[in-house]
Amino acid sequence: MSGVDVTAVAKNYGATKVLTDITQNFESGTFTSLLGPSGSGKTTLLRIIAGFVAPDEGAVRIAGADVTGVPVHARNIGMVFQSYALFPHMSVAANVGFGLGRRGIRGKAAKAQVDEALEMVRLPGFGGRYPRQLSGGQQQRVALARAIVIRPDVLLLDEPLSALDRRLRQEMQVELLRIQRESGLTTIFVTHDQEEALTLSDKVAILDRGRIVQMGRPAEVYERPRTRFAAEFLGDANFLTGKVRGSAVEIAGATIMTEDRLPAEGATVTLAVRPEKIAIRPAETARSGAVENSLPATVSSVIYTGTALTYMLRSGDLHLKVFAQNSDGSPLAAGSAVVLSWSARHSVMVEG
Amino acid sequence: MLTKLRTNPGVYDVVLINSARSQQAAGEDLLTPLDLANYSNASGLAPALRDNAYLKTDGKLYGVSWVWGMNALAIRDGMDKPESYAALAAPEYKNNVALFDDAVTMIGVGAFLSGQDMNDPKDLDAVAEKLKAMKPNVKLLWSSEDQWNKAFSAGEFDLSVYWSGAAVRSQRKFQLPLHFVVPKEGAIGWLDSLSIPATSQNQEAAAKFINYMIDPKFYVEWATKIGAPASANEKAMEELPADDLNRDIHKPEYIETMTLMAPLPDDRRTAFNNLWQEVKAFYAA
Amino acid sequence: MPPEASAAGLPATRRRMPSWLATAALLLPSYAWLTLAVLLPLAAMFAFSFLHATPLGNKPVVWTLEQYRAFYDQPYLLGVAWASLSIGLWTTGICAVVGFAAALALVRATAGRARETLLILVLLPFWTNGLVRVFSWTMVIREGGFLDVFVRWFWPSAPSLGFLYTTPAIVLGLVHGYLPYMVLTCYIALLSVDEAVIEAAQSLGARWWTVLFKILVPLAAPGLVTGAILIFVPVIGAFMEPRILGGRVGVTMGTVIEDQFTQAFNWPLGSALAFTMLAVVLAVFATFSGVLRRSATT
Ligand SMILES: Nc1ncnc2c1ncn2[C@@H]1O[C@H](COP(=O)(O)OP(=O)(O)OP(=O)(O)O)[C@@H](O)[C@H]1O
Ligand SMILES: [Mg+2]
Repeated sequence: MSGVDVTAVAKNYGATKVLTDITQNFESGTFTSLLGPSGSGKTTLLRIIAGFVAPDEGAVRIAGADVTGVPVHARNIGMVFQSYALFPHMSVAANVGFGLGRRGIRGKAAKAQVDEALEMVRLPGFGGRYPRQLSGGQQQRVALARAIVIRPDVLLLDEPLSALDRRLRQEMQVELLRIQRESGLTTIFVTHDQEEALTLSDKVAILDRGRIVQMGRPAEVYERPRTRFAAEFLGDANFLTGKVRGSAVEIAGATIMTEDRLPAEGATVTLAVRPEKIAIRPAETARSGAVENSLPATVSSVIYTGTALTYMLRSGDLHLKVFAQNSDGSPLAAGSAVVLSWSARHSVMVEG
Repeated sequence: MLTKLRTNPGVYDVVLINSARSQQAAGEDLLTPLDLANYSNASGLAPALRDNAYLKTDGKLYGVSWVWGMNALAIRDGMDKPESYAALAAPEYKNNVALFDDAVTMIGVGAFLSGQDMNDPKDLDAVAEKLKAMKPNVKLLWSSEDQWNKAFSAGEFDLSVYWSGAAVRSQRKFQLPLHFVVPKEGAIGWLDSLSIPATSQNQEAAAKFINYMIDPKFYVEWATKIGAPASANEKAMEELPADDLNRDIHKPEYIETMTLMAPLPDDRRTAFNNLWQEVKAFYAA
Repeated sequence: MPPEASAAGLPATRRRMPSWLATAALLLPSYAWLTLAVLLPLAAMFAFSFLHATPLGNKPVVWTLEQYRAFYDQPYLLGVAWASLSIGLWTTGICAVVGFAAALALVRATAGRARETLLILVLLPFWTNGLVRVFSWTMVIREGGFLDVFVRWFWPSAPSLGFLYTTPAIVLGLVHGYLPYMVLTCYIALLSVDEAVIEAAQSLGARWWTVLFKILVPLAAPGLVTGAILIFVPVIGAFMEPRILGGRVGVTMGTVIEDQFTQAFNWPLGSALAFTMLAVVLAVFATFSGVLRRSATT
């Protein structure tokens, strides 16, 4: 088993380039989230893997076999849809057993597997019900059971939780993760929700206008975004653009250090700094030396949310954002002069 | 028409009544007795029509015969003219016959063939037998002239029970190659007459109007310019051009041989309809 | 939202009609119309069916059950009824197959403008005069008609395929006339089938015929049943197609009943036959829907 391999896949709808040169390996047994803004091509990529859409170029391999020209029904995939897509005229058991029947598994053997799958999604004894007699969450569990009972080579989910309310959604995230871990299925999960992507996935792939701009473990993608888009889309970031001077970057008069390898002297670079990585102190109490980077600034406004504070600041022409814990209960007032400081390793050089 | 007469006294001054209904209307005292002496054009009326028993009640005349027509046979040109309605069941016309989907007409044909009175056949089984014998020949049952014309011009049949008036129209308007034939048993005839309602306020004008309607001059103009059924006025028919189709088909001698449709009592009418329905079901089975 | 809920949510200061009254007021015109246009004539016909003769003139009105003995007195009517039922079944069956396929093609294979145009083409028989439509078929399927001309174009010595004046000809004419009902009802039923449901089936390994028979047909069953009722009922009462396309074999309950109203002027018998047929049809549907319901719950 080698999971799913997508090689040089491209897809256009008329003049719109929906996917451009996607080459990616989805490792066997891993849970990968496809994350990207609306219209970035997540669904299209998923449907190409499923076989509902034929790529204009490139190849798709599932479990080592080239399936590019293979119709959907012959691909051995499990698919879960946002709208659940249960067969409304069939009982839960018949829904779950549908794929087994197509594989020639019927009768007792099928019933045992159906019961096992329903057990796995924590709906034992629901086999006799009809989809309309189930809640949204229960329906989605049935859809999941139906997709995994056939032991697919890959489980494909297109925003399966977005029709559920927040509470149910969090509950289902936990369930989904448990089921994926138990079944060990190679899973590709499309979502809009970055938190969901970060908590669930072994790997996160960020899509931007039909390209995968970065794929890696959630922490890796979050901490070391490779592009400005990735940094901005996944979490928040301050972008500082300046010129390389020696081993540092000169930005608005200040010298900012980074641990990344810099290009040649004089080149323009952009550094991304996450707002929560920046410490904020009143100018009069500031000490220097302990951290590599410090920048004087003025508070322009404060957003108070109870547990946390968001400071909007100005430093010369720069506009910055800083997240702070509300540890002492007395936020700095607008207009205060402050010093911002952060470690060199949190200045991440990004493209774009 | 009778219903209108009953429910609207005084509204009509002249009514057109089929001879089979005259006695009923007269019996209900809806009509005025007439004296033909007041109708100068009545002298040309064919005596058999003028003095027809159906127009009389208690010896008094209630209708002036006006136009008439026949149901008999039509045959494609170039084929031998059948002498009898028996041709409808003859093997040489296998699958080549169209019948008129009308109970009274078809029972009439069956009655002729079994030697009975068309208006009161006593032996309906014999009628049924004669009609059922036509089954191998029957290709279709026609119910409208339009349908007849289309099927005939498509060559679907060569022999048919047909109307005299329609035969004129089929030849005149569509140049269909057919002959109207009255077999030796005679035709099934109908006669329309003009009557004056008992409630009419303008009896004199009504009489004048009727006299005008049977005027040969009026008829010739009507028949040649617009097209009309055969006139009951023999003089009128004689004034038509010698090669006139209408005149050719409605020969005066046929008036003598044809049997006019009589008023049918309800139970006989029902029996006719049921019998014809049964025969049709037999054809279909 | 149920009407009570919306009414209950309103401020108490605003006076409103009680909801049942509002509902009644809204429904009244349609029910009044239904009563006037459908139920009254039907009731009148039902009353006629117990008369001895058509109530015209000053004949005495005689009440009787004799009309309902027609099938006993005239046993050949049983054969006619059977012929009508079989024509009805054939027509409905063919309409179901063709109509479902056409509706499926409309829903799945086309989009936008093409779909609208196709839908209009399908509905065309509705907008053509029935008589013209039926007569056109006589020109096509008679011996030496367009069908033969067409075939002989490719195969000059072909035997005639003309089948005018046969039962298949009647069925053809009826299918042509009534097919739009089936296309429409199936089209509406299929439109409401979620595309994702079909994709889900495919992803689970279903080939096209499994999708068709296990998913699409059951989900469109309400459309098929509605279409079947809309077609079967008028078809067994149809008289124009049997008369014109059936020739000698065109004798059906429809023509028999029509004859009673037009030719024989025997409205009581016509009504009684019509109501007998209606009862038979209702019984068939009752049995049928019972079977359907039972098979749906098991
Ligand atoms: N069948 C189609 N025909 C034309 N354009 C299409 C088609 N399907 C998708 N597109 C276009 O391709 C692009 C990517 O669509 P896709 O559905 O893959 O986006 P997505 O990332 O799933 O977005 P969302 O998060 O909103 O679901 C969009 O611009 C969309 O308009
Ligand atoms: Mg999408």
